[in-house]
Amino acid sequence: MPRTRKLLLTTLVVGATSAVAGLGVFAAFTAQTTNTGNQIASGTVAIGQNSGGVAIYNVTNGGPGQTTQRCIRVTYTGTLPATVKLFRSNTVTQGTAFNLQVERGSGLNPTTNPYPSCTGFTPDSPGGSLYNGTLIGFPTSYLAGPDAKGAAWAQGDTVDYRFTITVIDDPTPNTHDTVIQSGSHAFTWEARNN
Amino acid sequence: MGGTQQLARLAGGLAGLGLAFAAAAPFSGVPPQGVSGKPAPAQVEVRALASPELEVNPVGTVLASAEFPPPGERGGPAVKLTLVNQTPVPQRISMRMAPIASALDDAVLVRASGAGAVLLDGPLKGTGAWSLPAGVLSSGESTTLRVRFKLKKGLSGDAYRGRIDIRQLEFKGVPIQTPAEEEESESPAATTPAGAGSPGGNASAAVLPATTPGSTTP
Repeated sequence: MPRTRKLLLTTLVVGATSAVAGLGVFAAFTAQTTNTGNQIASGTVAIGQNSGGVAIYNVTNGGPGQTTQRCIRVTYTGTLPATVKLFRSNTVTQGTAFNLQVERGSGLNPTTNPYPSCTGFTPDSPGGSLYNGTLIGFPTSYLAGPDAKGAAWAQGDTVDYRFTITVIDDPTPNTHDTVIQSGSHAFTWEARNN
Repeated sequence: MGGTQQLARLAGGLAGLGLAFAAAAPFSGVPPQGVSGKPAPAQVEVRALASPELEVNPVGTVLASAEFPPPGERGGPAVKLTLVNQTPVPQRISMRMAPIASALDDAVLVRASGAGAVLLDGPLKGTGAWSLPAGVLSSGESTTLRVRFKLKKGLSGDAYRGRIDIRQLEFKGVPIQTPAEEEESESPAATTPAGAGSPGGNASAAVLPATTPGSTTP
């Protein structure tokens, strides 16, 4: 056998053996499992009221001891449980001249007795209040504000509030010859998911 | 010899059975069958949520396991709700159908109307966003809101059979601004009108000052 032919034959045998060995290396049984359809979406925190943008109270010419009661309904529509606190804006002037009481309750029927009527209002804890003190003393931040329900709010929860604003009597002579004004202020119910 | 023949028949039978299963495999994904053996129909469940500005009646589950007739047939599931404006000012109505389980997004058409306006009219897909405010409800006024669902025409069974879609109807009132208010809100010096039902995490109510000394309490 010529030398070249021997060499070619050897190369062929080595190649064929390598090919078979290679197939052995790359061959494998396989299996997979795939998890599909993954998504993530946030929940919501949303709260609103039935005032339609109209102030809870707008008292003029208030006399000593005169009280004004107004009610409002607050509804939570977020999907996440939330803690809601009530606070006022930091825009009150002469706030020591007025007393504010805020009570939590239920029973309003705004469709028959429109906002801000208090007809039907029943306080949750008669004699108890979320707040009862001078207007100036009402908290002005979420952290300091009273818990508006005392429990977490869930979607669809509705709570009624009664605001009683009073001009504090002051018998000091000659101190009421000009108007004492609170200034325009706002009340905010803020919901936070814990 | 007879034994070999019997064995060959058995093997042939088994092979035939195997081929039959293999031939049936592509059709194994047929839609779920109903109790009667017919294909299970598509279903929709609807819940309604309370709204700060509009009293919604009823709330909770207002439509449970309502079945769709085949595409193109009349009489799809429908919901009827009463909305009452519980604010002291006129409101336009905005609504959305928040998906809880959106299985029929591409298969269903929805139409919602109330307060003399059409609030939604089109594919279910996309109704998770608030609709443009429409209609008018004055303070204390009520309206019947009707929502109708139907399957699109020409759907293949795979697109709807056996699927259950769950939606939550949500409403909000958008106060109608008077021309004077609109002017005020466009002015850069104007303050934000307080107290409107806020879409975010807080709700505010403003208290105005006694600007007219000597005037009477409203």
